[in-house]
Amino acid sequence: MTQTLAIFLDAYRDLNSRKLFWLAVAISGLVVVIVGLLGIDEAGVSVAGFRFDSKFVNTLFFPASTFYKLIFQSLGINIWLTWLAAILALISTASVVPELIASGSIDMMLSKPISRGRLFLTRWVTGLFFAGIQTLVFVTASFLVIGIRGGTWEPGLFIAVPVVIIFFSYLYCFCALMGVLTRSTVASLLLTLVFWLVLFGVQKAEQFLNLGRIASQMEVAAIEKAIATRLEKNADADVERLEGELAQERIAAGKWASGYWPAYAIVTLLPKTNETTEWLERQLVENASFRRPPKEDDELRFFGSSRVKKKDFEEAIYEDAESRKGALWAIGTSLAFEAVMLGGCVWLFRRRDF
Amino acid sequence: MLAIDLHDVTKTYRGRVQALRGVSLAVNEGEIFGLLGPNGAGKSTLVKIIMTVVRPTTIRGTVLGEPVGTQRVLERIGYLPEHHRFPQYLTGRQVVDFFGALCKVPRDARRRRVEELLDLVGMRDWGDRRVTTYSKGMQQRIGIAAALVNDPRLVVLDEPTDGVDPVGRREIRDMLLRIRGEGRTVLVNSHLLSEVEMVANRVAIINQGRTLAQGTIEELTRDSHRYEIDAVGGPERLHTVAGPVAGAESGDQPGLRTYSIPTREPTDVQPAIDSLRAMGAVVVRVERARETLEDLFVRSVVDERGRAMPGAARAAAPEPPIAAAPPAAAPARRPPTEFNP
Repeated sequence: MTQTLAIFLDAYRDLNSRKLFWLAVAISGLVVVIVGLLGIDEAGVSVAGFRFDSKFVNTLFFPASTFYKLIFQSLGINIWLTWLAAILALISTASVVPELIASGSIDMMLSKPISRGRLFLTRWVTGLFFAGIQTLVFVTASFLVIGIRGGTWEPGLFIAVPVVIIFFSYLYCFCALMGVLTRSTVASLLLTLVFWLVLFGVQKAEQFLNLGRIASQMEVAAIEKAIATRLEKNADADVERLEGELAQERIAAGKWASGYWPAYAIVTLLPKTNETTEWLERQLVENASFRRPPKEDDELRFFGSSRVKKKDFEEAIYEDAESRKGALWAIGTSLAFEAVMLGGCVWLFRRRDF
Repeated sequence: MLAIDLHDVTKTYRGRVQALRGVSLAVNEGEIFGLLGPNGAGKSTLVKIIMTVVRPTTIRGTVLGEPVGTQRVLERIGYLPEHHRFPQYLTGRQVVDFFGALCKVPRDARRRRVEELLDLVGMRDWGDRRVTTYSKGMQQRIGIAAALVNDPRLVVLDEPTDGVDPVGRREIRDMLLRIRGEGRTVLVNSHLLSEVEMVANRVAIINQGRTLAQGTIEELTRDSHRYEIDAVGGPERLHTVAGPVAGAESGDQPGLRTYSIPTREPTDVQPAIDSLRAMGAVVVRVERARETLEDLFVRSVVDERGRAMPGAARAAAPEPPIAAAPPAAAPARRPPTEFNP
């Protein structure tokens, strides 16, 4: 325990000495303060006392609490915590492993009575400090803003803290492995950013294919329903045309499915940054009364359907994600990937001569 | 009892580079032991194996009576690596405290120990400044304090005087003697032979991954005892009890030759002196001599073909002419002004 505490204290001193850490924490606080300066009432919004009347952004359209939650969701989680703050955290912590294994530094550490595996993992966990402290500051400030300005206290918001730390750990485990392999801070940081970009691309591809798959399935179901309706009305001429469309749509659905499932398998093996963020949003919907997908009656245009309502389609996507992309899939399989990465790090670290 | 008792230590790195080819090392408890060898001899690899920084290919023996590399052993060893790097955000006091905590020293004991050690290494007044503000010598002192924080029985110092000025070197030397005085064993890996010679009880010379010689300096240089006679006007070859000895012209003075008679006994030298006098030569100096550690080192690292290793000359710095001398060379010459028959 003495050793673990010493390593954590050392990590704190390390973070404390880095200007970037305090800068990131200050920016986190500033972002929330700016949101706190926003006001909303029946006439519109105000920014630091300056009023802007609006027919669409006012408390008649949605309550103040929803306004702040929307900002927290779209700006706080989707942009700040899972992009900008994560990049700052990576920049600040990418050096942890290369500095640990640098010549002259590693000799001092390995010669102490602590196992290599424990030393490495403890040091790695301290790297998560950065993301943890930053997220905690941001979420606490957001909690206060939503409570004070929005008039509703949502302790469920704090689920964002562990989930964002987990999100960061997906990237940080890869960064650590690159650090062990290359011993270079810059190389490990750049490779991690490339890896993140690849993950983003693969997940977006899987999501796109999933949209197409579900849309196509819904189209098939809608045509089948239309045929059944026509048959009930004995409109045989339409049925023949619809059956032709159904045959074509079934082929299209088959193609979407054959493209989707391999992509799904690949995504399952990789850490799921997007899916974890989306899972967090779904949790906020359930636990902190966040907004569900919009219930609009527009017809779906994107996939060329005039039969499937946009509302139904978005509900189907949401339900699909809830049923198939729960915590076990989004976070569990990502943590399995992380365990493999960290296992590789420890294996290399234990075997290497320094 | 032996603090370090290692046999057949081998290390082959990837790429089949053989760093150690069967080194044996025996270090007694309570002594200062010097580990010597030219660059690339394998000294640092051996030290790193003892400290578990490098994994041996094969190893037999014990350190402090336990198998090498166990945590129980590491708890009782202090280590100062060569080219160490302390975290730049720490003060000297925090460095010593941090490494004490890593050695599982309890908090209260650690606090006391840190103060004692800052006093010991003369860094109390600088303890609260960041290590980045320290000179090389100050960093070495803090490193020694960090190596002692766990009250070790064995202290392993890799080039402790590296980059330190003469005054600092002397202080570190005194520190080593104090550490030995406390009953600890000290293993010093150093290129500075004169430094080692002044403090080490015993030394080992390692070259090309093998132990060439090991023992006290007296033991290792026993066979090099000789008497040197400087005489003006002596013959090219002088007959002595040890056989004919060539007189080497020094060039310092016309006709001055030096005869080196391999013997420990002064009685063996008398006939040679008588012989020189009988020939009309003027004896200007008679002195008992033996190899210095540097001579021993240079002689030991000469390979089988009789050529000195490239690193030997560097290792023997700062007196390159000695390193360049042939095997079994005489020690550095003193002016031939003494006459002490």
